[in-house]
Amino acid sequence: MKKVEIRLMLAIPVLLTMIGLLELYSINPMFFYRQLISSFLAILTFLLFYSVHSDLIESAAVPLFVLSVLLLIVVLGMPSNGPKRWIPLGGFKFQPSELAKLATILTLAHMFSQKKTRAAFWKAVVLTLIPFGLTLIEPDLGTAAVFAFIGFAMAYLAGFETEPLFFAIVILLSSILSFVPMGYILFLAVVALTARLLRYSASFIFLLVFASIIVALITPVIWEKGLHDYQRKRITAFFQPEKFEKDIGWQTVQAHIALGSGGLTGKGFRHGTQKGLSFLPAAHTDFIFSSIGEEFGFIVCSLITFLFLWWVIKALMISYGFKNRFGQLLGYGVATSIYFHAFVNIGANLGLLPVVGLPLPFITYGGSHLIVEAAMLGAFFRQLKENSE
Amino acid sequence: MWRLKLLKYMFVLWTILILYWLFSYQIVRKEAPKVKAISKITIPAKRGEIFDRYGRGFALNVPGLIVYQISNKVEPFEPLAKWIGDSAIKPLPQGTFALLLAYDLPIQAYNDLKRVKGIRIDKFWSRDYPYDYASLSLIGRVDRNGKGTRGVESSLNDLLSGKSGYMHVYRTADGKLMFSTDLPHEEPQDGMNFYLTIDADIQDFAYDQLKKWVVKHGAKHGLVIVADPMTGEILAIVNYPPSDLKDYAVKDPYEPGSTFKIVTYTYAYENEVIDPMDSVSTGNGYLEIQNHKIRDVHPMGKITWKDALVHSSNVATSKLALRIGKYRIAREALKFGFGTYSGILLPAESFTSAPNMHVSLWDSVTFAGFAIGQGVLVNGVQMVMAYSALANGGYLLVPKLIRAYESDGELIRTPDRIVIRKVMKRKTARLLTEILTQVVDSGTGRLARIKGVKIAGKTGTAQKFDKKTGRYSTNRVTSSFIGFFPAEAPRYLVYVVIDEPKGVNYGGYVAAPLFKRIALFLLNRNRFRSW
Repeated sequence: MKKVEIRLMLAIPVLLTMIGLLELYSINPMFFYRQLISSFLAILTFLLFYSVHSDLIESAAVPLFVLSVLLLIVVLGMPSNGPKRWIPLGGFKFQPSELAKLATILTLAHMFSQKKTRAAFWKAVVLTLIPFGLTLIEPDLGTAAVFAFIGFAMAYLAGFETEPLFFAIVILLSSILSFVPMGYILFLAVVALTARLLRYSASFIFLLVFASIIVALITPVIWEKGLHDYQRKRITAFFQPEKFEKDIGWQTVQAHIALGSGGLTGKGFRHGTQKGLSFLPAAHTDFIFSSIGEEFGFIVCSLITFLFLWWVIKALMISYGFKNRFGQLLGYGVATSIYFHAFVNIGANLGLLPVVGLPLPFITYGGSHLIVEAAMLGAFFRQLKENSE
Repeated sequence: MWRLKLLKYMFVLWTILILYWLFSYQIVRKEAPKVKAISKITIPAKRGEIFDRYGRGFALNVPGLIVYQISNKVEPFEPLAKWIGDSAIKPLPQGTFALLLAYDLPIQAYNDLKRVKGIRIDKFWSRDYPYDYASLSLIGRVDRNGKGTRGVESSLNDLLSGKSGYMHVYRTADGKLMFSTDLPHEEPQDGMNFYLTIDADIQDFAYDQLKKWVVKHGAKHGLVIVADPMTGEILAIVNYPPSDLKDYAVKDPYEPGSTFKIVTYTYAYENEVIDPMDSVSTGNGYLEIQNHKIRDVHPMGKITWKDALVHSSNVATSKLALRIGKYRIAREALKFGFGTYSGILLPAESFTSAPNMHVSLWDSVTFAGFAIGQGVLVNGVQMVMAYSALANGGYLLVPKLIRAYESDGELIRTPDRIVIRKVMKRKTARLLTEILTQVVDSGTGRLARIKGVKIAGKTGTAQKFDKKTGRYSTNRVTSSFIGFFPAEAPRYLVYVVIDEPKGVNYGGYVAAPLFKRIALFLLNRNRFRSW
């Protein structure tokens, strides 16, 4: 491991955080000052996790998991008209699902590093389903997807047979996507190809495709005939809470205008008009990537995209070299989590994916995710330190 | 380790896709910077259509054209001359961009006009009225903005016009419009369709006949209403001439004359003030009250109360009313629905219950006039509903104009009938019906008689108040006949009003024959229908 690379690994998150701070200042200095406080807290968190021995972190995994699940239950009891995602904490709002991401990664890394048995695998599945289900009820579809993705990726990288999980996810998505015929056909092709790449057996792939088609054919019939009108409405509202917030399509279009008007080099710092005139809602959260795109253009946007990819791939490769099995799986979890967040968020900004409210790591306004990301980094670099000794 | 490698490749793949899109957004397409503004466009809703009770169209949507002149050079000219007229093209006034040439061209004109340069053609939904003048006063029309101006088009305008939708479009710097479903938009809600209780056949026939009658008698105006007295359904409302904007059915009240006597007699029989076979003296054919004379057409001497109604004695009726008292008679009139809204869904209903003062201020002359239908204003629908109460055993009903309406593709029937109140006992209704059949058999309404059908009816000849002289005129009258049949189980009620006929002007002479014609039409039509 070259020293330069390790320094880069540290510098990239710092750089990204600074780009975020800069853009937040451009949007509204108030966001900047609050995010600055969060950044200092994040640095403290990073140092805390970096200075603690990894054995201690591993032993704290399960208690942390239990705590975060409890907090997720508490947040559901919060009086709120809309989605229940935050616990008010003084002047800040704490998002327990962020803590749950860290706890889930640690717990899964701990469990998968113990024994590679079928029982351990199913135990991990059940454990992952707890935060998955709780965030789904909030409702926070994006975060729920994070748990599913992390769980799947870690189990996959840990070397487990992942057919049952893959099967379940495909069937679930089939039934949702069956309402968009073209999308479904595309999806089926991607599924078949992915399954082939994952080196699943031919008979499994056949079974998978067959079951998926059956489900896709039956779901619309059940939807039309088997459900009452109010049931349909509830399900629609559940999967598309944004539809019930005002003018979500408006946001996406404004994001496109913001991005497109940036061009190669952007309009310059504090010269973006879309967010300035409040055309772009959520400019500091879901659509901060578009705000950056408007002011700094394609060069900075593609740089951010590239930095995320480089960091994640480097982190995966470094983790592969760890002798400590727990540390290795922890690294995988951190890397895949960051990747998933970053590229779902950017995809939403580009209109490739639905807007599900996942933060752009290090950049988006918000303390909870920044601090948790710092903790993940702290734990990861601690592993790096211990393994390279 | 192949699993790790595979995941890495997928990550890279997705990143490449993202970068490609980012590139195409920010570098290649760059559509967005050109977007100058986002503007809102209204999508008009389709106006609801109006049908008769069997679904025949009264007011339909057809595609039409609006043509503007947008340049001083208009050529070729022949198609324009064919559709619009020779003199249409004028030089555009200074500072004007467009001049309206034609508003309501049929869609067929498009093929001819599309090769003409210098004009603009817009398509829009135009309104077609297949029954034309026969339905004009009832259905009404829409103005250029698509708003109903009279009749049903006006009274149901809000429900017919629906709710217009909107969408947003990008307006780029080079003047293009781009539509995107991502922007806030709302589909228009089309207006409701209405199925009236009107029977287009009856409406059409009644219009033709009324037209003939008004012309024949040199009258100023005429009204025919046909209704089903059992349900209160209006089957036809016809005004002639329809173009003079007068509407005796609801908008322009008039003095009814003797047909109004029913109010006094209903009170008398209901409360057993008189017996039909008791006799009453009508003297020399006039009754003097405070130096005013109320006259009969010819002196009748001593007659029964029954004959007093059959031969329409003004003297006897005034005497009876004076005996009962003005408060009771005024309340009875209100009970029949005179002096209040009938509740029909037509615009601008007017019902001034003259004499336009409080009952306590009425003197005997005013009151005696009131009892025989002079100095009181009613509208046609009120009169029809009052006689319907007689016909159906005593129930005052809401006049029903809408049989069903269609909203979001769902057809909803209106209630069969709505009773406002019971006006009289069944017994009284029977008795009065019996007396009214004798009006047609041997009284003033003999010209309405049809062999084999028992018809109950009443004539009316109201003198018109002359504003110039301040007195009632003897030669300017409103003649009317109202009747229903078959008297045993009434199915149709027909009301005919002829305003200011020339020559012999008694209701029994002018209005009753028209009643008979319409009645024969209804009866024959029914016979054919039952086959």
